[in-house]
Amino acid sequence: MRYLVFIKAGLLTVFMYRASAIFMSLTNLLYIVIIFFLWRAIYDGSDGLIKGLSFDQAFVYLALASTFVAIYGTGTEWKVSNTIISGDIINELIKPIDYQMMLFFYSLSQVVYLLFWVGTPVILLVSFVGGLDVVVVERLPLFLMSLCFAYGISFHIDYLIGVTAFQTQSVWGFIAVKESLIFVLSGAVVPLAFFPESVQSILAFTPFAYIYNTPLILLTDASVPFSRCLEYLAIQAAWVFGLIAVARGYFHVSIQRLMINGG
Amino acid sequence: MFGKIFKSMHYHVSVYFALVAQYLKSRLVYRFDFFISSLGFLAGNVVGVLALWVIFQNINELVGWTYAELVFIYGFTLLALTLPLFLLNGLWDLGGKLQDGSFINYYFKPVNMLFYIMSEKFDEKGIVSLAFSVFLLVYASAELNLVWGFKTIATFLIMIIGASLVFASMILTAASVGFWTVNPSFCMMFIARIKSYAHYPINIYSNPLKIFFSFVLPLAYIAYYPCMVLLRPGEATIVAYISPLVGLVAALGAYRLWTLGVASFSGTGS
Repeated sequence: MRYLVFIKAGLLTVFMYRASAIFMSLTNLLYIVIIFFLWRAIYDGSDGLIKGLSFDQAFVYLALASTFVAIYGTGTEWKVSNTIISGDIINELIKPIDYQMMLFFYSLSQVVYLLFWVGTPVILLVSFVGGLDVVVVERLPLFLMSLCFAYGISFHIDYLIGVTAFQTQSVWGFIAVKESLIFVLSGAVVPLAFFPESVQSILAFTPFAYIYNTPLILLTDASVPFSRCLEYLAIQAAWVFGLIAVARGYFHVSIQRLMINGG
Repeated sequence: MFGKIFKSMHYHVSVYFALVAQYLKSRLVYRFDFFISSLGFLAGNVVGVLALWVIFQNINELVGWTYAELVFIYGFTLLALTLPLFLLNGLWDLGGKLQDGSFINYYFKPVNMLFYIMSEKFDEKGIVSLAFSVFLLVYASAELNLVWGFKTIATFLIMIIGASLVFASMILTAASVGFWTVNPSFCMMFIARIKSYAHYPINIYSNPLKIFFSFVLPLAYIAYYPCMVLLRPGEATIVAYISPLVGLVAALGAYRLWTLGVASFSGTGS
């Protein structure tokens, strides 16, 4: 498959920026240390369970969520918008490959690379604290599957934000809005279970709830019945395909009225 | 002597406004960008408070602090972070200028180099954060029945200046690292990320981390200690009362590092 070459290209790029990966890993570890103390303080006044979650469950959930936020953010939205604003997009359009597919494989290789560099220390740290006991081992295959769908959702949201550069010519603000919405509404700061019921039921209709929350619930909450797990995976898959359709449609419509300043 | 100081101040203020006016004129071209970027800043801060609100739907207090107190600390933090960003936004370009060699231009300016960099850019998006922080402080003060008498206002001003100096020193130190490593962006990104944890009460941590966040990486002096003096003067110890002093010492230290860096920087050869 010809897109495999972009996996190599993406890997070569991240190899060049090893220092950046190590730095990202250290920042993430410090964040997890802060999460540990913050949530220990939050659980201090409770009887051990808040909204049905134990401290260990909440901690593993948040540590992994913040790690996946770091890993999944490969800057696709910046790549797309810079290419559009600078006009380089025409160079991509004349190539006999699909732009979106190319970016997907390019970003995918970086995710796999970061999964190793950022993910491994986290697993070591969490197991050192003893938090890994809450992991539901037999759900691991479902978790991994859900993680892949989550990446599909995350990538296409990034891609869509990048494509808005066709209309807006500036995306910093959109990216900032997207990042803060995803950060909080997908459960990376506070587990979604802590949100009031009404807010949760609204979030269930947005893609945010299915990025980090779904895989992490599958991994850490044994009380979720198997049928419900499959239901979650089906909703995730629906979001992935829905977003692919929207992204392709939006790109197609936008490209018709592409205007680039000379220079 | 006072005449001389006044003249120098007048000169610097007029230079500052002349340069900032030019920068703002160039930004007027991107009005839509300003609008969306402001929205971005606002969203980031609103969800920060939202996270706090969600946590407090499940608990009544966090290590002894109530929701209103933490909202106050959040607003205070935001204000202390925004003020330095107005002035020090130009430092974000330092890495690029050190690498391509254009930093040499600053050596020929007839004013203080750091002052010139401060005047070159103005973070117009910060106005939204400023407004939001004032909103949070007003809301929290009303909830806490805080009386804004002369003494409180004076304390607040001194504390906010001290806290801003602490954060400004962190940015300046991180940027100064660039004189030796050429690329300060890792250090600056680190400060930019770590600052979002400044609003958590420092007493959630174990003792080694408390010392670390007080005297090594003084995050606690951006919000926790100054707010302690404002909200619970009875519980505040000497560690909290020295907040403005910490800001001053940090600023002097950071400026010293900066001048050392400027003196030792020898270019990249490009």
